[in-house]
Order: sequence, then structure tokens, then C-alpha cells
Amino acid sequence: MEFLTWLRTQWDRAGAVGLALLGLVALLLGWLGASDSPHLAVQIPYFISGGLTGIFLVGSAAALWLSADMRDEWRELRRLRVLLEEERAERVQERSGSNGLGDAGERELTVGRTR
Amino acid sequence: MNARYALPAEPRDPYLGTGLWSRRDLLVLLVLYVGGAAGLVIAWYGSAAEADWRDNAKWLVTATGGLMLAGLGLLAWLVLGKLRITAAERAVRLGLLERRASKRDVAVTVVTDGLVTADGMRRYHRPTCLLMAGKQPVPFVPGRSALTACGVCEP
Repeated sequence: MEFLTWLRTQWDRAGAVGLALLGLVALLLGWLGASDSPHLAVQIPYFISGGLTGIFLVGSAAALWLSADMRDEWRELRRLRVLLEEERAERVQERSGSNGLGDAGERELTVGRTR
Repeated sequence: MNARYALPAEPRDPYLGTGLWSRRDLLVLLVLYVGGAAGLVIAWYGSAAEADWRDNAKWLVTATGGLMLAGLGLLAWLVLGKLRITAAERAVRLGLLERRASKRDVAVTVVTDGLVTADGMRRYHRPTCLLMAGKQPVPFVPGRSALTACGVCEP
């Protein structure tokens, strides 16, 4: 059950593992097929279907795993941005309540500018 | 748990729309990736029908081209995502800097002159020192405590 939950939440990483395994199988089958024949004309289809397709699948797996990592990073950054925005809104509200500066006072506090 | 630190609602589709990649990015990826995969399959069938290895050259080129096309699609997908992550990181860094500047601003208004320290600190600082950001400043009186000078602001 836990494995199914993991599959559902981490489908991209599970897909990456599956694609990588498929790629390795393709490489192995291509090698087995090509090694059975001494003729180049017979070996080339195995090179394409096994070798190049294997590289294609392993590359796809790497890209899928990387995109899963990037999506996680994106989520974290989005969470941070939401928290910072909320805190900033609170600060503006506090300042407008305490000294009556409001938005104009907050705008003076721009990053990179000395007051 | 404080509701303020709860996770914001997840978008309906984390990969698209409000997510990291747009639908246009997905379209670019699909066109290049599917095109590359189709090139590989066509090359495989084509080469399997050839009896002479010299006639296989064109299929080898087709397969290599397909592989490169798919790789280009995946690369574009990752680069577009990385560019957006970099932009988001910059935005978060700016937000953090603004937050720090805001807190430092408060500290400066409380103690505008002289050296300062804070509870639990073993060094004294200038009021504008970055290490004082976000802390409640307490005026430092020389000779009354065994605090040492800050190595960052060098008061």
C-alpha cells in the first residue's frame, strides 16, 4: 500500500526508474542481437533498435528525474514566496497602523537603496 | 500547527499553468520528443528492410537525427524550467533582503548612535552591522562587560 502511495506521489521518479530499466534492457537485447551475426547489414538494425533506443530511453529517464527535482525546488520556492509576501503584507499593515505611513512609507524601503 | 506556516494549496496541475512549465513548453517538448522517437522507429524499420550495409547509412543518419531531436526537446524543457527557477530564486533572495533591510531599519531607529549588542551576543557591533539585523539592540557601555569587537563591522 505504501508503495502504491509512493508511486502515485512520485510518479515522475517511478517513471524515470522504469524508463532507465527499459533502456538497459534495450541495450542488452541490442547487444545480444548484434553479437549473433557477423554481418554489418544485420547488426545495424540492432544498433538502432537496441543501442540508440537504449540511449534515448536512459536520456529520457534522466530528464524525467531532473524535472521531478526541479518541480520540488519550484514548490519550495513558491512556498517561500508566499510566506514572504504574507509577512510583507503584515509589515505594511503594522506600519500603516503605527505611524500612518502606509504604502508610501513602505515603498521607501527598497532593496539596494540606502535611505 | 500555525496556519501561517501551512503549505499553500497545490495547483491543480503542478506541471503546467501555475506550475513550473507552461503549456507552450509542453508543446515544444512533445513536438521535438515525439518527432525524435518517430525518427528512431522509422530508421529501425527502414534499416531492417535493407540487405546491404551501405544502404543503411541513410537510416543510421535518420536514427541519429531523431535522437538529437528528442535530446534537444528534453534539453529545452530542462533549460526553460531552470531559467524560471533561477528567476524565482532571485525573487526570493530579494524578498529576504527586503525583509532584512526592514528589520535593520527598525534597529537603527531604536538606537541611532553608539555601539550596540543584543542578548546572548558575545561581541559588540555598529548599529548598522548586518549581524544585528532582526535583533533587539541594547546599548554597549565600554568597560562594563567583557564583550569583544565584531569582526564584520569592526567598530
